[in-house]
Order: sequence, then structure tokens, then C-alpha cells
Amino acid sequence: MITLLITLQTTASIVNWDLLYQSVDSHFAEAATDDITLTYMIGAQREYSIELYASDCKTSITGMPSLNMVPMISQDYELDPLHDNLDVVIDVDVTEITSSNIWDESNDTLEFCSVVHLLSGVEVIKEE
Amino acid sequence: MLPCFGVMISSNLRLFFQSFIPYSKQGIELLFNFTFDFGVNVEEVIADGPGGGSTGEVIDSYHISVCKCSSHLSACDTNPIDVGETLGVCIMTTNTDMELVNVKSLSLLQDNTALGLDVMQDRVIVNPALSELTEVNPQTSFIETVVPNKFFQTTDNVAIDGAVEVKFVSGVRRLVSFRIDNTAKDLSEKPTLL
Repeated sequence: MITLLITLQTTASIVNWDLLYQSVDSHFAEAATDDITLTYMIGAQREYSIELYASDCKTSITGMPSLNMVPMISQDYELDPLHDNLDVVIDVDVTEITSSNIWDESNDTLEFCSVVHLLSGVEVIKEE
Repeated sequence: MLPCFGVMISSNLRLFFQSFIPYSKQGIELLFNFTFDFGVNVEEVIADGPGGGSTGEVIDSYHISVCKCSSHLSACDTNPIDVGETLGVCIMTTNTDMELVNVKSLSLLQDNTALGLDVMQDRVIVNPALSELTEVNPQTSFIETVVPNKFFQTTDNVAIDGAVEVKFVSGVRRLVSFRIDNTAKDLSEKPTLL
């Protein structure tokens, strides 16, 4: 049997730039620091940035000085070598909600927008 | 339509989360220069590609083409690219007397916005995390690149500007530089080679 191997001369492969929203989860509780968790699947080992805005995705959130956000990366490269899981854990002080610009008291809704960037240096490559 | 995510978090409090940024599909224009190496250390730009000065006459005679494509195995297409899609550029010659030597440069430039991305400069990929060059064979090269989201924020087309170095395989064909004086008023007088 003759096996013919054909190789193409190629530069290093393009890395994975996937940026996929997965879910939002919330469980507001007193003293909890993970009131809201946003989950994304991103290309493995990509640099990223996260920003929270009001619902128009442009206006900064005001009236919530204690709002805190912690990104957490996890991976299981045996299961999926191409992706990392990015959890954005948001700590909300419930006493500040009604004074913020992301609270719509007409229908008791907390509305906000999360913008995640995948970066190559300072260049934004992907945005979700 | 906005992708919205609503979660009831208490009897009188709802969480409304959205992750939405509008993007537009982009048309692609090609603008290429071909630099021919005639094997005598003479390099001369012979023709500009579509959108340049002379549009394709010389390029056609040497059977060189540059086009948008999805892989080196696929046909050329003019489909606009969508956010998240990679951009493929096929550079090909069907003339067996010619070989592609190098892709000297390739860049993306968006009409009206001045947004740009250098894919190749000085014959090398600028950012290997974003772009890849595959030299399929001496007659075919394929460049694939991620297109950053910034190019999709308007409907302005993205132009691909580049330069390719080409050589004649035999090295026997040479470019002779000449011009013709066709200002003679006597029609019986032949133009003079200068």
C-alpha cells in the first residue's frame, strides 16, 4: 500500500476567536457576592475585557457605587481544547438597585448590557 | 431583533440582560499590484489590479487572478462577509511559466472610515494569531484572516490592497522598456521607437 502525504506550506494557524454567549444566572441573596453570573465560551487563552453598561450598551451604569464584577476563567482542555469558559460574576448591592439607572421601576426590571471584547494587543477582534 | 434574556429573580424584581451590538455584512473590493521578477534583478510593477490604473489587461495575459474565496479549493465568490466569518483571498496563476514568489503585502482598508488592518507586510504575516498564509503550490497561494469587528460597524465596503511578487520559471523572458512617439502628423510616417 502506498500512502501519499501532501503537506501545504502554511504559517502558524489562526487561533480560535470564538466569543459565544452561553447563559445568565442569578440568585440574589443577602451577603452573596455572586448575584448574577454571565457565562461565555471564548477561544482558548484569548485576552479579553468586559464592560457593563445600561441597557443601551453605551451609557455607564450610575447609582450603584458598590457594583463589583469579577471575571473567572476555567477550562477543560481534555473535553474542549479550543475554548475557555468565562464566567462574569457580578455582585450587586440590592439596596442600591432602585437608585441606579439600570432599574426600571415601571415594571420592576433590572436592565443592563454586558460587552465582552476579545483582544489582540489593544485591537478589539471580537465583540459580543 | 434584540437577543434578550429575562430572568425572574423575585416576585417583584426581574433581571433583563442583553448583549447586542449591531453589525453589517461587508462587501469586499480587491486592489492588487503585481511585481514581476524577470530573473535579471529587475523588478518592475507592470499592472495594477481592478481599481488601480490599468485594469487587468496585463494581468489577464499572464493569467494571474486574485479573488475572494472561502478556501484554496473553492471557487471565487463575491459574497459579502458577515461578522465572525474569516476572509479568504486566493491568488492564482494558470500559466505554468509563472510562479508566485511572495505575497509582499496585503492590507484591509475600509472606505470612508479609515479603518485598516495590515495582514502582511514585508512578505510576512503581521499577526499570526489573526492571519494565515498557505502556499498551496507555486501557482496558488491562499491567505485567510480574521476580520475584526470594527469593520462591520458601518456598511462601507472593505478594500483589500496588496502586492504579489511573481517570476518566470525559465528566467528567459525579459521586460524591455520602450515608449512610442506617436506624435507624427504625417500618417505615412511610422511611429518611432525611442
